Amino acid sequence: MTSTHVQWRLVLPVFFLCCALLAPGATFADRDHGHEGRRAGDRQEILDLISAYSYNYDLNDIPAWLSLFTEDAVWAWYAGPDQTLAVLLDGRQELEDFVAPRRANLAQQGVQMRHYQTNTTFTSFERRRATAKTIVLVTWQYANETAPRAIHTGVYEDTFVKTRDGWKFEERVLFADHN
Amino acid sequence: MTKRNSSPSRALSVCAMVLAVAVVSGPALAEGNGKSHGRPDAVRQELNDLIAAYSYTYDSKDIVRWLGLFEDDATWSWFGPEGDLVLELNGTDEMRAFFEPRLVGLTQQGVQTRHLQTNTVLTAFKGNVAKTRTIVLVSWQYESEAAPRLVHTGHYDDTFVRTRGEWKFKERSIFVDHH
Repeated sequence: MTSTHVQWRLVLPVFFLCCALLAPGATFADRDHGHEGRRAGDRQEILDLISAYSYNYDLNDIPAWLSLFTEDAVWAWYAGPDQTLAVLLDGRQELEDFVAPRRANLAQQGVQMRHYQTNTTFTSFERRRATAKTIVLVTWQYANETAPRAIHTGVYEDTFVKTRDGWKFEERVLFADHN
Repeated sequence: MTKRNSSPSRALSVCAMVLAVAVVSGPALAEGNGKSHGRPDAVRQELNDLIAAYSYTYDSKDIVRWLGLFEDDATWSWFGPEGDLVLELNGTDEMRAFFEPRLVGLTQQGVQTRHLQTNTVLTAFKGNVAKTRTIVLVSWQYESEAAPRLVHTGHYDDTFVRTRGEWKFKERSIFVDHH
């Protein structure tokens, strides 16, 4: 009787050990799904950010466009197959100084531009930082033209950071296909 | 007495079995069914990444990585605007024989191609087989040209299979809008 009692006292801890070993498996699976769910949400926010870049720039809303970047963001343009650095802007103020007059000029000429950004692929993804590449085609259409014309193609390589106000561009680098 | 002694032994056996199941299935639960855990949103994302990889590898003329996106016995087909079959390549050996010299030719001519693939819709998904439809615009730009030229528009009908947890093209058919 005593021997049986002792054996049961051994069995119970083993049983709880088994439960404890099982629990992490389930917890990791849940955590993983939770993590995947959060990542899917972050991914969608970044895709929306990329789309907002097109909408804001193409509709000439420069304040909204600038708000997509961190204060110290870098925007660069490398041109042609040799990838020559053509433009390097460091910080939001430099972005505004460069972009605002260009957009105003295009608007005065009656040019409607469109940035078609497709096939975004994430190349790294951490909790508060991600990198991705996106193919882009830019078209221009003058008010008197019946069809748009293709102006640029290329690839954006982006770095995003998660701020208190959501995901922002920390770096946007365009590798344009022509000089 | 014998009966009383057998209960703890049986309990120990059960615990041992539970422990074994925990050890075996714990990692399996955490890893899930391949990378996507079989969840439709994750599957969609993996297919979108595969479709994007088609653009990046082809446009960078990386035939090895491009062929790596296909099953060995995959089919690649080209249909004209009336649905007439123009070209059918069966297996990656035939695909390599057709596309490798084309990519070499494009490189020699200094042509930068871009495949802009958008609006992918999932048309079927069951188990390890999925189908999608994707609109495509292809541009070419010679080194001497200031702007890209639009070369093709059309759509892809794709069939994907998942083997060893990884999605690949099983069939890719392009329906081009021009003769």
